[in-house]
Amino acid sequence: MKIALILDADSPSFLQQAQEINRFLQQSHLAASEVALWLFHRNSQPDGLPQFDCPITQIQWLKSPELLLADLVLPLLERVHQIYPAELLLFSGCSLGNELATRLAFRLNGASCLGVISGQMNENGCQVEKSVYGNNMLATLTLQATPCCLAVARQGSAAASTRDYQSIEQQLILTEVEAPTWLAEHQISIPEQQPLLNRAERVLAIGQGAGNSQNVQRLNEIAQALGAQLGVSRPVAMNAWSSMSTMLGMSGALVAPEVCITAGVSGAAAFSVGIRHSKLIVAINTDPDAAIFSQADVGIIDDMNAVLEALVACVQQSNIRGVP
Amino acid sequence: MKILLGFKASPDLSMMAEKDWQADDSLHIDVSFTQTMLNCFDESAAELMLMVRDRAVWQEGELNLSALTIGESRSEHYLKQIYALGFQSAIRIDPTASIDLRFNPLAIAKVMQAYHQQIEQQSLIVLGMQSSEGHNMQTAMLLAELLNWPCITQVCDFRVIRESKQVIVIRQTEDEQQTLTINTPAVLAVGNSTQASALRVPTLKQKLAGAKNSIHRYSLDDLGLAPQELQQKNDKQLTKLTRQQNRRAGVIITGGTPQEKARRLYHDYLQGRLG
Repeated sequence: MKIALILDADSPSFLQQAQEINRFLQQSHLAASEVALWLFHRNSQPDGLPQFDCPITQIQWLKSPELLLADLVLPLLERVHQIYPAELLLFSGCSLGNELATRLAFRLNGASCLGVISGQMNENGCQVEKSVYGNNMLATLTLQATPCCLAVARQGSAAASTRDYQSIEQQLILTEVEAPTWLAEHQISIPEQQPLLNRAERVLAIGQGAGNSQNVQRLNEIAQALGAQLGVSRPVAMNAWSSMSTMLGMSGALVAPEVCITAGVSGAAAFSVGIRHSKLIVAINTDPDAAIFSQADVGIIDDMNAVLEALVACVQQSNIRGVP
Repeated sequence: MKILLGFKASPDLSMMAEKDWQADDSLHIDVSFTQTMLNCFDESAAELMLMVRDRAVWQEGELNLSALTIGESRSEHYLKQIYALGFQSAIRIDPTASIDLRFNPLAIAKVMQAYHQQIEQQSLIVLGMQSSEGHNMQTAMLLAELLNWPCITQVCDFRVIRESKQVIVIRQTEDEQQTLTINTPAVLAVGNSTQASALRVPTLKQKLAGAKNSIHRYSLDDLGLAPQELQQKNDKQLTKLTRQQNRRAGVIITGGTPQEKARRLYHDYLQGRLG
């Protein structure tokens, strides 16, 4: 079976996305005979390319347009699929990957599924596993049409390690697609700084228990004193108590830090998915029945502000004494 | 200009107890006892449509907002709310119970396509990007493919230029913000939107006025759709549904004061990991 791995090499999270594909490959049973890497890039090709858990047999470089819209790159992918008819196409779980997987499968009369954790191919088709029902259940779904276009689940992975692919056959496809007639104008603004949350080793995750915008500001200072990045639950971000770039969970950032301290968080499954790969999870909440306690390694039932202030005092005392 | 909202009344999964997470022989989970809710993306989509209406002075018949849902009768509660907020029409399509639509966004997209083609043509179709049962995230994109329209995903805000009937859409991807001026028709999939984080609540007066409108109901037959058209080879087949849990030790630290508990937490777990 031929597999193609499709990624945007210009994305700041290129190597993280590659690692998410690796996780899928590790958890899957795929008898791959050949694996091609299809990489979108704009100007220069990146120095380091990710290492994958399967040997890459060829690389296709696809020139991406200035405005990276699925509509503008789908015709290119259709063309490449004609040249290299892979039966399984794996996309990253970012918004572009999700859209390309869905729409390319439709155009090729194949089947697609997003957010897949693992998969296996057999005579009945492709079987995939994904989280459903607000991450409370795991569904096994069978896809029968080919090609099978899958976007892997976002996991909050670290970056993939890189390797040299000099010896591998590489092709450059330069076709550019014309701007579609429905698009009259466009502007792009790129944030000056990429959010630090994804790469943080320590995260202070706060929920609605924080109470108000002023307290969230105070908690941000506490996070800094603890050497942590502030992350927030969806209601906190939607109340504009903190910026959208700090939102954790299914529709926000997924993190995997050494330590994640949650405070005033109830533990809804859509939030927990954002922190579940943390090495140590601490929960602070006044409600002893909050679901977050069963998802944490250690918990304190008490007022979050009082506990966090006291924790800052412990850190500061240690620093004064020079104890690490 | 006609703008259609497609939404789903979702079960409030926070009301489910551990014992409720049991799939029956046909791989269904009983959520009938939970309250329903609009999922957050559908709420933002509806609110953004109302903001489009509020941003300009529209002549009679110039802007028409409607909302459509595919599902059981209890979703009509939201259609009444939609009327109270000033939408011109509210539609419920009753799917036959024999078809499992939970994991088949292509079937949902076909029903919406049929509504657009058979009942009332639209300039813009707006959907939330995801709902809580199937986590499919594909309905808007598949609808756009079926109609051969563009699809703009991750929409956080949009407005209509009254004079040109063009739409300015702001979409927020992981890496950048794009502001696109587009010609209609198009499908929009609304993602995280702080501009419209919740749907406004109608006043009692609005509710009374809205109650006079009747909900338009259609069956698949009315839309010219045969059930077998909604179960194609390209669709996904659910074969297993198991409980997914993410339990950890959950050791509770005790103590007389918050300070004492924090000290124990620090010394036993966090020393060397913080600061």
